[in-house]
Amino acid sequence: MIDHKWIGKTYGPMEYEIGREKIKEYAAATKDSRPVFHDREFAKNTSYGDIIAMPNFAAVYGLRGAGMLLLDQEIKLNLAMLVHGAQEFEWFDVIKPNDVITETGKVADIYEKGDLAFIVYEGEAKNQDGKLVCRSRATFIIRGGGS
Amino acid sequence: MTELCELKYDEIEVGQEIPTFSHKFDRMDAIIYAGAGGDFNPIHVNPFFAKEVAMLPDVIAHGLFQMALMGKTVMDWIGDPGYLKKLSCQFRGMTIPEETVNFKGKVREKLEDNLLVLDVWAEKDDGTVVLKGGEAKVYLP
Repeated sequence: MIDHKWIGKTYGPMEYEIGREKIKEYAAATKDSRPVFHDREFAKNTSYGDIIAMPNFAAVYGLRGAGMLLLDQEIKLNLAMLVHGAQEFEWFDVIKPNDVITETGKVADIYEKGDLAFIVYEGEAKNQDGKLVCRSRATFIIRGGGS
Repeated sequence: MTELCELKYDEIEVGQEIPTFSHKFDRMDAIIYAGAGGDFNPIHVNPFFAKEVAMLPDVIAHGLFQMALMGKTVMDWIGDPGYLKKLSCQFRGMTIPEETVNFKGKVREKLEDNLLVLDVWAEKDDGTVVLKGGEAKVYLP
């Protein structure tokens, strides 16, 4: 099992600057060609005034703390037995090119069910104005009991 | 000004299904997603590693890739990406190349303040569940 003392361990703050081409690349990779993700001229005539990132782009700017957790040399999760079990994103505002996102995260929970161990990461991403833009919750499952 | 959403909260009924989006997974999808999303875990991109080391039938789709397609399915319905407020799901079945996944949603509940909750899920042609127990919260004008 994973030692429960790691509940509350924090990661970050981590800064991520949003790139215009990266927004387009992520949307294209997820088969989404809608113009508000790609076309600056189109987006000028929407309420956003510029292209916005696909909400699921939070997987890039809002889960880097989860990546640190997976590689955390104190917790030492057994990556060979680990799967991403569940994911939740909640969005509070849109993201545009050149936004600077700051993510902070923590180990929100650790628990067991049978021979499965669960570790939950929660992250909060704020923009350059300090406004919360996304909250993320990732649940990882480790077969055979964890670390 | 271009309005992206053509739906109206008042016209939506509980139980209403949203259009299904179907995608046939190609091994290039995983390579391209790895670059865009930053997850180069070899189980997604290296068939030798997937089969011989991880003992999988082949490379498998990224969970977050499939979740993004789920998000796209909801956004195709609501039109305005900014109206997607929340999305969650459990990652269940594995998807290997040439398998088709169908992304689905259904209105579960109408909340106050013009918010709706949808059940969302994804399953393969043979009915195997890929994304389970998903929920989307959306705003409609």
